[in-house]
Amino acid sequence: MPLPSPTAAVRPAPGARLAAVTALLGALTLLGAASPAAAGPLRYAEDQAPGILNPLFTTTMSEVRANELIFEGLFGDDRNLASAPVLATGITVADDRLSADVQLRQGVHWHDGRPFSAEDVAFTIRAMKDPGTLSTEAGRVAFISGVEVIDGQTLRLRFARPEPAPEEKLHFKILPAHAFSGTSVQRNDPFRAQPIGTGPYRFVRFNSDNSVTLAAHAENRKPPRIPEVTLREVADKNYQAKLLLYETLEALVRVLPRDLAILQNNRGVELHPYQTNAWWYLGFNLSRPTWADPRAREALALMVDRQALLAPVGTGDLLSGPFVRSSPYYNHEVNDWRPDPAKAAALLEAAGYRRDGASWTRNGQPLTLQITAPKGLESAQEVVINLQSQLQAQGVKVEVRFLDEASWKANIWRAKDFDLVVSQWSFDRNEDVREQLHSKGTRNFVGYKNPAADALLDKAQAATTPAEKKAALRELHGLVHNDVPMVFLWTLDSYAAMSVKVREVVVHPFSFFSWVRDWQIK
Amino acid sequence: MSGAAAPLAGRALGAVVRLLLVAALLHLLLRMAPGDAIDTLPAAEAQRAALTAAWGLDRSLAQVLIDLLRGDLGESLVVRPGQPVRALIRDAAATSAPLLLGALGLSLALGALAAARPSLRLLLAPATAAPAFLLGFALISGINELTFALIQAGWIGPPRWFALPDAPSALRGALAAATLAIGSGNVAATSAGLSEAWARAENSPWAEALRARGQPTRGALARALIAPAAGLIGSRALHLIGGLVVIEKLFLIHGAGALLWRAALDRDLPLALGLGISAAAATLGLGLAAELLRLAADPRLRGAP
Amino acid sequence: MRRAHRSLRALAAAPLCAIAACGLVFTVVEVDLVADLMPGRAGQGPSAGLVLGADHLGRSVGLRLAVAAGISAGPALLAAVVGLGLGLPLGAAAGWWADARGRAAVALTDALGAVPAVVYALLFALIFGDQPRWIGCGVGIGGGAALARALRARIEELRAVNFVEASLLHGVPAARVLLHHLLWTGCRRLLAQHAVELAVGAVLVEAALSYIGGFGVQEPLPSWGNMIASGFGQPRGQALAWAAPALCLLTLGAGGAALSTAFGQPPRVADD
Repeated sequence: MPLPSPTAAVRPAPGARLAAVTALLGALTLLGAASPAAAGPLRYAEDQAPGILNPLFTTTMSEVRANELIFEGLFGDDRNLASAPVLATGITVADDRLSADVQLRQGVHWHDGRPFSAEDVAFTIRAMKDPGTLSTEAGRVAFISGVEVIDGQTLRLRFARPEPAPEEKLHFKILPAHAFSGTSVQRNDPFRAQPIGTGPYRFVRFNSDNSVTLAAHAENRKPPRIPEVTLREVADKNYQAKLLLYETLEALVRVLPRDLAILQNNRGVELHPYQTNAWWYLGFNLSRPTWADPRAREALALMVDRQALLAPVGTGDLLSGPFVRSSPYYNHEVNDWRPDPAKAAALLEAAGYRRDGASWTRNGQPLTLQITAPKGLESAQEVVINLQSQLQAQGVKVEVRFLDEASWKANIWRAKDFDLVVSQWSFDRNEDVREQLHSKGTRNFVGYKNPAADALLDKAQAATTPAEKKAALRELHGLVHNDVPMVFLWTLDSYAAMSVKVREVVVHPFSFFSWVRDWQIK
Repeated sequence: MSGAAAPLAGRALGAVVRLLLVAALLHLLLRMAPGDAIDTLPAAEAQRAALTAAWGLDRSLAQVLIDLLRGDLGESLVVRPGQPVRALIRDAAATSAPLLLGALGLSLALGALAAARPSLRLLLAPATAAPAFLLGFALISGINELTFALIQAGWIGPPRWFALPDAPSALRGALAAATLAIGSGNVAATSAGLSEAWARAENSPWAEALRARGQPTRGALARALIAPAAGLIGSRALHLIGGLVVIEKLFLIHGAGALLWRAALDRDLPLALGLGISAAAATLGLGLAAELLRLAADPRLRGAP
Repeated sequence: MRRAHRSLRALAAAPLCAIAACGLVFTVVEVDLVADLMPGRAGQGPSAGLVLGADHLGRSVGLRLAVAAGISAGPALLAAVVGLGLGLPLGAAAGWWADARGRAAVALTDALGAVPAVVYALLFALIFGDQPRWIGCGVGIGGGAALARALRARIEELRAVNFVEASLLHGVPAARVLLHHLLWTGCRRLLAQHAVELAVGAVLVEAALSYIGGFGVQEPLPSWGNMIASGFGQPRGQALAWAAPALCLLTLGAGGAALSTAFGQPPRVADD
């Protein structure tokens, strides 16, 4: 790009000071112009660089995305989000659906040049299941009861119960057996900082500015067209959009709502909408007497104007249950909550509350509510502040508190010290809400207990056909909606932003880079 | 020579005792924070007992101090799992040290200039009154918005350093050091200290004697400033090390300050403790160095207790 | 001349006094910040009813500035109390006793003073996440050590002065010499100087932590620091939403520095 010379850059300067500033800026421009951003690497921003590049210990979305570049699973998503073979070539499920043979792709090599084989798959499954590994991903292979290597390219899996479509669950990333000394893998295994995969990009190095450099894995199987990918840590989200506008980044994973307009109007940038399997909710503490009463919960649900809460933080779909609208499990027959102050008041009166001037009281005690939200949740601040305003206007006294991640777990999950939380759940393609809604679920910190819901979740887990699972979960949707352990809010539209130099972009809603092999850079 | 070694050994022992006190205090404070490192991992509740043991979260204070005495700072738990804390601190310090030393030097130099020229002191007054974070915010936003406007107007093309807290560059480092040096009253303190020392030296009997004999005083006066300047290094170092935490977060510099911030948020106990102790060691070390410089520059102080 | 000095000092003390006044007022008067949220007036400029305009969410900037000042009074007060409470006995002990007791006080002072106040503030913010006044405790510990050091040096200097020795020889009780002659007569300006620095320092540190986020005062409660952070660069905002708190901080910083310099200057005969 031709740059104007420093002197030509301004009209006649009125004063010496302006001239000095201009000269300085001009000099800075020339300094910076030394290395133009031509067709080169794809640089994308993350709020926080991954601490660990080992899929056994994935904890953040930034790690999920980096893993997608470096590693592959037996199966992955095709463009229609249906399971398609990646490291596998096919699967043969036994008639009783209690075992399956997986045929593996031939000629695949790890980034270090060693050949990929069935031993690697068997190792990965055993490592995830090994109690010594303490993997955060162990749940993904709980359905596999045994694994047997038949030959280098074939593998037999045995299942704990009949599996109608095991390929749907075989998306977890495969690790190289030769890089580990045993199936008990620790978080601090050196592999975390020198990962080896079969994915489109191989790890090159961690840089001193917390960025990560990845290079295309040259292999005969459809090599990626972009030669290099750089993950850059830009901790201040306010700068991410500017960096894209001024070409020191080529991609933003998720654009802040407030930056949408400015990016939309820029010819150098293209926005790519996608919808994640993530939904926002208000969760009640059901172990507190006030909120154990379903009438109080429903009254609160009817007081909330969700559309008004959503508007300042972006666009999206309002939800009536624990699935996103595009999900096969979403029950469209359930009537959604609409703000209804009169009905809310009637419900509160039925629950023994009295409108006493400006606030609701029961036995002389005002109805108060503490709303807690995680500090790190994008836009939660606006939602909470507006929610506080909505509820207070209807006679509920509201206090607000934001907690960092560790305090959140300590206060909310373990001490159960909360009235209402504003938070979000994110799911992968399986949309498995069991941990959130089953009475024994590990993420059921709201304390929801309904034997009918447990039965439906069990039924969905044991289902042998997709239709059976769909029916159970749709019924669950209706049941949970009526029980109101949470007020389901919305699923947000997400936008990735890319420089127009990046072509053929299709973004995967969860792992982002699943189809990166097709992307090009001009 | 052995006479000089004994107080040095005593000082070294004293420094170790002080560092252990610091370690104990920081450890207790860190343990008081709600939640722990396990809470920052998803789905780790089932593995709590195993992780607590594996990560040494159940160690007593005495055990922690004994490990520290053996020079074992442990491994990072969450921020960089498994990486030795010692190596992480070394890398972070390599980033932070130039920033710190640059800021120290700059604040002394600007302080001396301002002491010599009251007009400069007046010019710098608004900047020195501002807390460093505000100064940094004004600098970053000012430069970015101005550049933004110039680019929009078509006067310049997008320069590579835009927006400012971007990839590491000399410009960003220099701005960060200047912010740290000037903001939060640092230059004001050094210039006040130096001008006071200058006035004292100028009015001292020996300066008057030199003047009476018609000899040049400038060189002698400048030498007389070394000792007070060294004293100032000792006292400003603490403020500047503290300022690193804020400035590094602001300018997105991956140094020790920013790492401490992350470690505290993620409850990465060994890393946060190691960084805290290193900060204390740096403060004590700089104080000691300044003291030695002061003694070297002013022979009269050597006799003092 | 003296009057000019006095009025200058009063001017310098004004920001700190304003914070104290807001702190007092808002402990008595309860402000409904929630009712102040009116999305309809988001980004409005100053007007008769809305002196400094509204921020991007439609909250009155003027009201939030005042409430933020009131919230800052907590850390400021706590910092001064903790700092004096810690620094006074430590400094007095270190300066008065030349034996093991004095050395222990020095060691403790050094240990406490080896960690920057910001780091203490950060740790206290971590522990007492939703109670920002505890940031002041952190600043107080760090600043208390600095006070102890200065106090020790001053007391050692004064002890060598004839009237102290003379008082001791005349049988005046040591405690009275220490409290009256040394601390009150000799060090009260120093104590006032440090109290001012502690209070101002606590507000500035709280603002810095709240600006960067993660620690400090959390929305919806206002702090001058988080007002700058949330107000700047908002498409629907207006400049005063971030410029006004920035100006407040600048004024406080300048006032604090001037006040501290005034207390730090060697006492003039006319004043004492």
